[in-house]
Amino acid sequence: MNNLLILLPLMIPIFGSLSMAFSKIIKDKYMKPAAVLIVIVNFFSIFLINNQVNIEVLHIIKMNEFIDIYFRVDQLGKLFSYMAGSLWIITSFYSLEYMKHEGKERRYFTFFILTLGIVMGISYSGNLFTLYIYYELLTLSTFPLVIHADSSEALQIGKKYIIYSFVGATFIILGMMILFSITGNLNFTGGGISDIVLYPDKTLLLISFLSMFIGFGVKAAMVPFHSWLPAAMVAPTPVSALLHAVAVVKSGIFALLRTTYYIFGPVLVKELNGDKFLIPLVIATIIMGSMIALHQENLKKRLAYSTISQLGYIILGILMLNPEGLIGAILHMINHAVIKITLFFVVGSITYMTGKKYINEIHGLGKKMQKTFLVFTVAAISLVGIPPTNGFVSKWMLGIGAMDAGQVLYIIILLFSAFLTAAYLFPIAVEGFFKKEEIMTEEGNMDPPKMMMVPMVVLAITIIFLGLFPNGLIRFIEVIVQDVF
Amino acid sequence: MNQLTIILSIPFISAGMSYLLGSYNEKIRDAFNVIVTAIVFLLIISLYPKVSATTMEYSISDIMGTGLHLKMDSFRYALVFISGLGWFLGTMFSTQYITRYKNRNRYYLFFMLTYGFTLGVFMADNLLNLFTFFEGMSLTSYALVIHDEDNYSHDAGISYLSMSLAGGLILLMGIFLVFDYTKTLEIGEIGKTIQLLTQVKQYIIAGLFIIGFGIKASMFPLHTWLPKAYASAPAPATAILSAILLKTGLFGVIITLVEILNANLAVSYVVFIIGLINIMLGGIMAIMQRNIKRIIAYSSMSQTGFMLLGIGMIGILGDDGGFALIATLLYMVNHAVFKLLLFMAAGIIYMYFKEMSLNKIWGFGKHKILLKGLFLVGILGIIGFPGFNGFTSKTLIHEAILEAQHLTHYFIFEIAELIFYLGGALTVAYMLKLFIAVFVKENKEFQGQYKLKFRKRALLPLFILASIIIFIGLFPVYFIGLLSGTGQMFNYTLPLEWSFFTRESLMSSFLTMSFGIMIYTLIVQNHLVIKMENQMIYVNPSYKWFSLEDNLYKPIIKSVFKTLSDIFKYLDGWLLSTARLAIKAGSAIGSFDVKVLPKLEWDRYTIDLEPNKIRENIKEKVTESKETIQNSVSDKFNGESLKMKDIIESYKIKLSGITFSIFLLGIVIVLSYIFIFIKK
Repeated sequence: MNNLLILLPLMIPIFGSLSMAFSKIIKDKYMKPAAVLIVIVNFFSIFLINNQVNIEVLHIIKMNEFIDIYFRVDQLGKLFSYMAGSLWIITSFYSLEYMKHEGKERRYFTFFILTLGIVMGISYSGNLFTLYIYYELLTLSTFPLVIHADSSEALQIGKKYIIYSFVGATFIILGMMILFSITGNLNFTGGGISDIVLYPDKTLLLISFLSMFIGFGVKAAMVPFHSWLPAAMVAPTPVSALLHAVAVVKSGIFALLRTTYYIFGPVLVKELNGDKFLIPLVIATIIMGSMIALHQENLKKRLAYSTISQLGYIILGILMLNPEGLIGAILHMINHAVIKITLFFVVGSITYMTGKKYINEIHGLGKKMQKTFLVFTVAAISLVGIPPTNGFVSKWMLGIGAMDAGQVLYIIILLFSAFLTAAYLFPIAVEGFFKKEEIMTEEGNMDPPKMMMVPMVVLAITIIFLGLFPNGLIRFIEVIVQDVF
Repeated sequence: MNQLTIILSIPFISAGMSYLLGSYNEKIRDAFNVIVTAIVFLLIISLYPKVSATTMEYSISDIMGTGLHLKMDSFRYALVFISGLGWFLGTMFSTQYITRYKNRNRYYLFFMLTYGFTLGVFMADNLLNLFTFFEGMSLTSYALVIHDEDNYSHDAGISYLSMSLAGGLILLMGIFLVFDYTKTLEIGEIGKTIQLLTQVKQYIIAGLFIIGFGIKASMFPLHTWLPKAYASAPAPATAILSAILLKTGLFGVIITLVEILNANLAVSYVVFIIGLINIMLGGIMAIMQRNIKRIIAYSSMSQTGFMLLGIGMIGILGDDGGFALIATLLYMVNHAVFKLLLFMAAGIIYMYFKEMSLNKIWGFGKHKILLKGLFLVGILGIIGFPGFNGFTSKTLIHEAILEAQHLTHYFIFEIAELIFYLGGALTVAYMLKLFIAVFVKENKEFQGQYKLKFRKRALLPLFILASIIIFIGLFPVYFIGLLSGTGQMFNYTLPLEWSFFTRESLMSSFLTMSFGIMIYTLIVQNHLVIKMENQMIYVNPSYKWFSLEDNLYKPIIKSVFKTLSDIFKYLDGWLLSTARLAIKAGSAIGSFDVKVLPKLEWDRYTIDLEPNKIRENIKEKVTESKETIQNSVSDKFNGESLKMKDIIESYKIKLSGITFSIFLLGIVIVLSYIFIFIKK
């Protein structure tokens, strides 16, 4: 019976969003409070089941060994669900205010909550098949959010998003089929499926690994399958913030963690030289993201390319295949989520309050929107990796991982990209704070309303807090690492 | 709480408080800041008995992952002391100076934050802490550099920030290597294990660290940010930048060389030689400048050279390195004191005119006796006139050079001595140029009508500094006693006796002076000045010179950046563009015009069996077809003309049945192959 509790975080959002879809069930008046309520209740259910000791496994459907949907709670899943759950709450508050300006709020909140349920499914799925199902559902449930504007451009980009995602899914299916035919087992096990190292056919295992990695890498915006991400910035800002910097891409990262460390296992991947094939792509991802971000005048696009580069860091950490690298990768997954959502919120507030979208339009705006730009500066400093912010901690761990892997090159790339990060983020803060104001009609303070400001400030404080006291989080992650190595 | 953490945290807390106070009442904020810096300074002074008795250490675990580890020995104390002094006087001066600037509140916020971070740099005993404070200092001082918000300061700011950040990242690279090789971040511990590494690894680490710190210390060829940044920041900020922030870089170099690398000889020589280059380049550039602040800025670079010389000699002198260490430390303190004075005095001139060019303000100070006197003290300090503080440190450095030469008999030390004299002479020359232009010449424009635009109070910090200059100059032995204390100084034994006013030192000082005056009369008077009717115009030929930043760094960075971003832009679109290319190629092929020849018809039934007829028939047919072909070739032919697309289409229809079945068969074969292959 206890095991059924695991369904709570999976089902609350889904039922919530279903009832949200009909104005008869939830009246317009109560829609927004209801949305926030569902997200918060969901967080408590996450908290509840993450702290239940005796929840192990819950099989939903088991047709055969392959088609077997089941859920499991482990440390990595806990971490991911906490991350998604808490960031969802923050975003829901932010969207309450922001979505006034985009319209079609009911549709937005319906799919917003639905996506939460699906992300929960991803974090608790116990085998690759379940993960895959939820992964596909994620594409579908986020599609309406991407095309929220309903313009022809949005639809075009929605098409692109769908095509990229399904191409990725095809690769995953291929990899999964090959793998299943070899092992007959797709259950997540720390350190890789048992005895996977003993299977003789290394070439096929390698093909399976690469194809799955590339497949999940599409969602994690790995070069050359990244171009959907900047395009998808056509979505409303909270969507870009949450889905395309946190939920969707991080689901990709999460799936990569699962395949690398829970299916194949670091030992096998190292033996297959799987990392050697992928590292060039990852390095291209890191440098390219930063380089192109420098050329973007549109603030959101700049952040999108920055996301690509930062995701490259995480994938690099995953492929280092050593404990420090993995800690760095997981830590950066969390930290980057917090930082990037903050940056997006700031850009969203600028657009919301002034309608400005381009970097050359924000001269001296920081003097009007002091708090907003201060939050931005904190987040930017953190993303560059300057202590004492959380971005530095994860980069430090990644760097140590790189040294452990004996690759000074990785560090050089990390630092070079950090420099580029400074080059594309600091000018925004400098334009805002230190440029002489151009003619601006509005007087006085232009910081966004409290509903948007408070989430941003909370996030900024989190950034510094995690930078000053990262040890609690690192200890949490060390449990995962011990399980895997 | 420990005393060190209290000292360290006060500036941070008061930065926020002063910001809040400032939006409420500016006068209260100014008083608050002066009081806070005074309190910090007093706390630092009160630390002296403890530090001179023993090395203070303090650590808090669990902050920033690796914990916070602070340390205070006599060496660090001296630097913390001048920071305390510098900020106290700087804040005092700011309250007078900054009143006519915009964004005063922001200025104080960053001024105090920089203070906190700088103290942190000097106190940190953990590389990661050091790095944290170092980066924080770069960022907050950036806000000071661009305080004016005009194009010039933004340009300077970009140079400053990008070089600082790059330096920080290079330093971080070094820290990664050190941590990987030695598994520790405690600066005191690293030195013990690093000897086990190979020479190459040690040199790589040394290189990274020295580049990282050297950017802040304006070591050649990483000095390019310095003149611009110093010239654009407000005067009190420039004073702090030159007097204290420059020292953080030198501090880093000393730490690297002495504590981490155990005074590695080769690295010492490199630092020594860079020091020589700095002296000459800074001096030559300074003598060319027309902007007062730029003169003093390049002078900072030249003076840094002297300090680097001293740092290099710590390693070169080996067991007697303590002597060079004290000499360098004394030089650092002295330089801080007189640079504070000179930049503040320049700031006071700036308060009159918002102008720093010698061509505009020449002759301004002839009747400003007080300012003239203070400036003169600063100048006498910097050129090393006996009885002023510069003399003491220069004497020590000179003695160290002589000793090194005595020890090694290397030729380089003879050159070094020559450059030492030359650098000193250049200092004399450019300071003379500045002083004569501003304070000696008579300019009728400035007779009387320029009333004081500041309260006399603004001169108080200058008086304090001038008296310190004279005090150190007159009682150097006592001051060195204070400086070295009995606390640890990297385990060096220090000389027991110090002698300053010997015949040789006085001689060498006067030699420098006369040499400098010679340079002034021969070069400055003749080549850097154009005499007009009743005015002299200073020219700066160095504008046309090869500029490291504009002619080398920027083009290199730009071209690298451009090629990289071109490559990546291509990569970014390559999937799409190849797809698009394929589609384009397809449609291009499809739209080819294809001329279809009419079918040649043979009338089979008309064939006669007679050979002649056959021949004729064939001939006829051939000519017929020939005509048609010729017609079609020469474009007279108006027959069918099809697009390739249609042809392909028509073939497709014809072949569709077959292709489709083959395609299906192929898929089935491939799939079954895969499964057979897998199931194997």
